[in-house]
Amino acid sequence: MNVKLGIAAAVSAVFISAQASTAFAENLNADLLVSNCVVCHGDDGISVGSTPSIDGIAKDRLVAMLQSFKDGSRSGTIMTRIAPGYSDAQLEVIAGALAGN
Amino acid sequence: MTIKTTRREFMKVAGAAGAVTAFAVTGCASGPSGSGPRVVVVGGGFGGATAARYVKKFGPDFRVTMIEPKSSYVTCPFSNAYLGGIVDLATITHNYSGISAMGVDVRQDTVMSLDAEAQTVTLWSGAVIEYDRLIVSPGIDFKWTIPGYDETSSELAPHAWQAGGQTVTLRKQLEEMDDGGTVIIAPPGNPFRCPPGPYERASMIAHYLKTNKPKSKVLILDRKDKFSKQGAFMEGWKKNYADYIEWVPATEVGTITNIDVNTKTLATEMDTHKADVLNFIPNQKAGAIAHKMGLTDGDWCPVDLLTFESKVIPGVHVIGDAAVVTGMPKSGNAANSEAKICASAVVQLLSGATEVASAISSNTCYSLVTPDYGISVTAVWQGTAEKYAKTSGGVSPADQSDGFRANEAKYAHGWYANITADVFG
Repeated sequence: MNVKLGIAAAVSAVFISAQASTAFAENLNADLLVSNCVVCHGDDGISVGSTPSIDGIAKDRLVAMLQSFKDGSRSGTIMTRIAPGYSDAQLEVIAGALAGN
Repeated sequence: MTIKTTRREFMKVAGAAGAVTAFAVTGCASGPSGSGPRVVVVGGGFGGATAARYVKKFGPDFRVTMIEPKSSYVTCPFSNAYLGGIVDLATITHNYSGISAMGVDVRQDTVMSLDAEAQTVTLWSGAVIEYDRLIVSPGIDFKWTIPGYDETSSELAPHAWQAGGQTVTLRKQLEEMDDGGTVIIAPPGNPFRCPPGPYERASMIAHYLKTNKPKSKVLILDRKDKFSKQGAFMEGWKKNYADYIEWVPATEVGTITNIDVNTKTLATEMDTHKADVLNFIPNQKAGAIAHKMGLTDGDWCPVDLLTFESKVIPGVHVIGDAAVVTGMPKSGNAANSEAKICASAVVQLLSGATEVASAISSNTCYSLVTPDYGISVTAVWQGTAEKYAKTSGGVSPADQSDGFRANEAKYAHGWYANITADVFG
């Protein structure tokens, strides 16, 4: 198993270096991506605290919001610092998953 | 003989958490739900509890067992707010019923040994638990290197860097201190759990003093020349605590040579500092269980960054503060993020995958300067085999409005409510 994992790591490292322009291979696993959001916005985007809930927002609208945080056209406290860390494809996956809840 | 010793050790741990009466449930465990692969999680903090929940989320039929000596967990996040009098102890104390409710077998017990060949762990109760993969979230332990300061004497000058009894002691000492007193905080050297933590603590203690004992002050005697969110903290202190907080960098403090917990005196090679309340925070290493299991190389646990599998013992994964995760800080949110990536990898590997894609991790860390003045540092990282490479993030910008700072304070509470629900259910 370790040998196989070593190969997997080497393969993904090659893949990453081959994508120098975008820097990294994209992981589009929706569960993992959304799991980063829930620490502030709650399970399925339903907040149990003073942070805004982000469930039930139409996908296109949520993508537009995330993109506006990413390009800086929308102000915020921390989302302007977080959204640029995700690729456009990843933001689409996140918005789709949250819209579906 | 060995058994008697270990029993005493266990009782000490359980007793410290006020949990002695509850360990009888150990023998009554009904076992985990499901019929799939067996994943055993050691540790019930931010890393372990998250891992247990997310293995079950990603692999609903997996049989998951979580082993943790304490019946409930007091979080380090918001323990500074407790010291400042903003939240009570109940708010930062969590039990494991939400994890049991998912079908995880939560065992209040202590791992005594690991047999990596047989893929078993043996517990204090005598139970031998088989695993297909083991996830260990050991947390931190302390390096008792300063003469006069060890595990026993630390009760009088509490580090309070594992939340619980010492956090309560420290609060009590602050309450009992006369107005006009000096609270000395001595933050650890790198690397350590929660890099902004000592400075949030200084802020929250200053808030308590300013409100209740306005002739008192906080003196920070550092073992570093710079610290996390330094600019944002300094701006907040200047605005709110100009007469209350003094920070002295390591080059001016000099080497700490001795601590007397009775007189609350901290001696350096060039000076002695007398405190009324002394909060010395020792340098750190991986939690004791990691050393006992043989997962360490030096102070910490080296891991594969895509799967968090130990580079020392195959089939065993290490997450959280104890793991060497290049690029990421040692924090509760980082442990939570690592636990999810690890849980996903473990479920994939036990479902026949031979490779695991790299993942994105994230960390959001708020600090309260006052109850209405919050600051944060955030980061998003792309995992690679070599390191977690930052793709965005940063500290709260300078010169913001009162409303901006108030929002960050408000969202700090929101973060706490939601992440603890994510960790503990």
